[in-house]
Amino acid sequence: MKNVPTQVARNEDFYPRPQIVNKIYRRLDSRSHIFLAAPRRVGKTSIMRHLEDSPRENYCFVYVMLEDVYDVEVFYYELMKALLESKLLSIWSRGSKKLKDARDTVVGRIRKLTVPIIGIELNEAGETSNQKEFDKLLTQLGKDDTQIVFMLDEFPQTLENIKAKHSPAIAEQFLQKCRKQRQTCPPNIRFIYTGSIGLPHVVGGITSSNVINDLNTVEVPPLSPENAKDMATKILANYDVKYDSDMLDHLMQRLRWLIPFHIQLALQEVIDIYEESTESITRSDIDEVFKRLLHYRNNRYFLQYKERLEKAFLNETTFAQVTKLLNHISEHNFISTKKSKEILSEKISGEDYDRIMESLQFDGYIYWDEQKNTFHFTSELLRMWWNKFVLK
Amino acid sequence: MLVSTIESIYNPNQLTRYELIDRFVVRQRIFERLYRHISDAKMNIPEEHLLIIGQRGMGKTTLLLRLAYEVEKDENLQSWLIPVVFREEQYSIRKLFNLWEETAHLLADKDTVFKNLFDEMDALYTTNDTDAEERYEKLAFNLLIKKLQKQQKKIILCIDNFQDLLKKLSKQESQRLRKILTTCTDIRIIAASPVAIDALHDYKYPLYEHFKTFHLKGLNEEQTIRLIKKLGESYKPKEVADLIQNQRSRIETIRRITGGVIRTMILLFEIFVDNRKGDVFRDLERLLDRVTPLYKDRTDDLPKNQQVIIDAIALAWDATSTKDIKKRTRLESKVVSAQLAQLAKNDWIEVIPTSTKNHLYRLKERFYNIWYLMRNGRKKDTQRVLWLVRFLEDWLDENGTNAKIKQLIKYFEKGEYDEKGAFYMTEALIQTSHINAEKEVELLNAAKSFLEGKKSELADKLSLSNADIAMAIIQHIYDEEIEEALDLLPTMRLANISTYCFFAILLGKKYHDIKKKNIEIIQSKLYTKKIAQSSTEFQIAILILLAMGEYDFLQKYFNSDFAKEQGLKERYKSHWYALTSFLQKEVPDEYLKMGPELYQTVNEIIEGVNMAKNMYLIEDDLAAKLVAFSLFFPIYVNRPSPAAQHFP
Repeated sequence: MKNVPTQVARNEDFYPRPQIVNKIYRRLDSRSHIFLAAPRRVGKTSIMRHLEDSPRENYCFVYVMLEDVYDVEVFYYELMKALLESKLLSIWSRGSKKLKDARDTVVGRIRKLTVPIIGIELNEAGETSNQKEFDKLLTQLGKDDTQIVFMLDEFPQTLENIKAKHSPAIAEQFLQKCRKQRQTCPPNIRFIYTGSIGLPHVVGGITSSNVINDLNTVEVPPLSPENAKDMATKILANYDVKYDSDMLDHLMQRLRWLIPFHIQLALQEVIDIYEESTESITRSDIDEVFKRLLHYRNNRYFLQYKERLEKAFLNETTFAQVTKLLNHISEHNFISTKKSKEILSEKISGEDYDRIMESLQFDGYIYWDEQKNTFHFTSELLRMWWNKFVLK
Repeated sequence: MLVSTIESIYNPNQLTRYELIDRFVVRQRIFERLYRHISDAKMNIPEEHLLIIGQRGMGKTTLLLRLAYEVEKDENLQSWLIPVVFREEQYSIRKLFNLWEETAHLLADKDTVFKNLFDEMDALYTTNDTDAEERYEKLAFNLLIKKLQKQQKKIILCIDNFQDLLKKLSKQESQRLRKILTTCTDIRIIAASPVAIDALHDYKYPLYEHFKTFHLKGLNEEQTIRLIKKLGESYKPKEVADLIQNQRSRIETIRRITGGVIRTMILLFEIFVDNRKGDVFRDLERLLDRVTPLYKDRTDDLPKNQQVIIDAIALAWDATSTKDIKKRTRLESKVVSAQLAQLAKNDWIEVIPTSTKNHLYRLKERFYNIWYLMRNGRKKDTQRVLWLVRFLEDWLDENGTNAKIKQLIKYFEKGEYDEKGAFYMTEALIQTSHINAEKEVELLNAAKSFLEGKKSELADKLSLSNADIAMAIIQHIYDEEIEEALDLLPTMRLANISTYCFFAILLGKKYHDIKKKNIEIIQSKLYTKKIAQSSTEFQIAILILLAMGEYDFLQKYFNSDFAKEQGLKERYKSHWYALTSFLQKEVPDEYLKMGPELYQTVNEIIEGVNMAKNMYLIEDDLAAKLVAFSLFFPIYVNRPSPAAQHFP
């Protein structure tokens, strides 16, 4: 298993996560459309690509990356193009005559499309020509019983793009169309929405959250310590790295928040240290691993956590107080509920307290220790980074 | 025939494949690691993209080329993977679609099946809608992928100066590129950049997350030796062998002052072992021309305040303090500090910690600094060759300097030297601290005759010798052109305290402000160890200050911590008592402490002070002052000068 911190882990490089995958199938089996929720770099895209690469029988997943889409017309074009490139059509072409005919019709329909001339007006019903084509295509796809799941990665970004390039009204219209499509599409069609910025947050900036309340939320948790250790063992074996038996336990304890990305970053340093010295990696080398992880060169991996807050809390005062709160936690390792209320209520109305704390927990910054009634950084690595580069 | 080393170092693209591979003796380890990433990947899923980060001159371009050559000769890869190497500067790429167009051009050079690819792409461009470019980019990309898939080929784009390309992309284009990088299985990028990509990326968009980065560090001692040994196989074997055998410390000097940057090391190395009669400077000039657009763009891209700060640091060459930067830029302290932090973060400058809180700052990329001095150093002064001066000072002691001057003069006399080389070497050598006044005159005269013989306009651009400057100052004073005289004074490279003393007297009462300024200079110099330890200089300075009536200053000076540290009152007892004789009212007891054995010496000093006082009072007797001057500068006595006619 290769260590691929900078690319989506696929095939043998993907560490299997049966629990979350089963959960997704359960929801799909119950005909739900899904919102896959998780902070950045927890492994959402890898899970989707895994579904696409190794689907269960009778399922076909169509992955669409949408972050560069700025127009409704292009959105539907991308969906159809992805379908054309998906495994579905090759499966159909090997099937019955009925399926082969269906395939030909779909291919014929999509091939007629060219890269859309963008900026065209929507028609009176607020539809673009590609959208109409897509509706027809869905009807066509409904004629077979293959379960077809469109996985829309970076969908919230598309919404932001459309809102910025066109208007919030067009974005709202688009959201409503999507909702209608989910409600009226044939029963074998499903959509999974996800993205590195929170969908509820983006939708909240456009319209009421009603437009997405039909989505079934599935959260992607971090790995368990056992799984994290197992994954690390497989990766290190690939690089012939020798290490002491307790090294990985210690590493996982230090990392605490075991998302694949942070584990991979740490392993990258472990591998480098091993290659430099060729001596077995011990517990004490983990200090060096953390030191290297917190070198300013790696800021590129962590800066996003700070920048995301700027986006999430557009109000400057809120942003400043949230930063102050996180500064406090990074310095003292925790914050009591009382102290956190004190900091936030200095300048923000008390009503916002719950919303802010929820948002910070939802996005993976902090967690609440129920027994001690304290908040902590979810990731020790992030806490150390915050302490070093934000708090200074 | 091998191209000259300097040129190939700066432009590895000029080397043949054989030469490049043959000379690739350092960076093997990182090469192997990178190559493993390429050779292990089947590219049936989107692979990690690779990014090499290192200062300019660290060997990024060479490494990219080396990887490309290896892919081409690898039997397991050559059938399906094509390395596409972009030129180092991609001025033609300003939009994402240009990247695909350039790829089409380069592919056509690689394989004739792609010969029409660009024309087919070009035909897809239509201008009939507002988003024509966006649409065209997609069409061009789709076509490229279609053609690759048809040929069952995949490509690896080797892009140097990747940061320049990213800078040009719009937010939408960088989102598009990120999508391609994370989803496309036909294209992989190996990029190189002298700066961390995120430092340039305004959009806070995590494109750079998808690159696995490799940092090129400066060469260590062992790698440097290996590099120079290799160089010696094809180039100046005798000198190189001698260097490695007997002068390792010199190699280490070069390595340390360049931070182990290959390009700058080779450049300095060539200047030292130069037996090509200055040709290295011609290479250097060509090279500077080549990097000018790149460096200029880079400089222009900086915010205004940062440009000003970079200018101050670059022109200083040596590590410099915030205080000096503030003085040179006239920016507020907090602005300077904030901008310095930013520049350090973006790898422009390096912070050198000192024992105090006040760090020193130096431009990180030494070759950029050389370029800056050579292209932006003010013409009137000698900043342009400051880098060479420092290098020569580090490398040569007094004997070495004299030997170098002797060798140069020999070349000049034979008329065998590159003109620019003659100019730069002369200018640099006369600024080094090891040169004396006689050698300076000798070298300048030889260089001037040589350049005049070549009818080079550089002959007139040579600096004046110290002797000439002094004479010119005197002439200006005689002509009552005081401003001009004062302008010239700081250009005297060998100016010592006597010079200032002399001009303090010479300018007399008439130019009170100027006198005051010169006195201040003398006073500040007295607080330097160099003066305190030089008996002659010290005595002259004290004499002049006594003549000027600077008693208060001198009293404080002799009682200062500095004077105590240096034991000055003890060493210069006579001067101290001479001073107290003028201060009998203020400190009557002090004068009485003087032992009888000192009477005579103290009286002589007082007499000298009175003489100097008289001299200082005679405002119009220039000749008398010139005599005094000639005492301070014996070298001028035998030289014909414009002022000679005024001697009595």
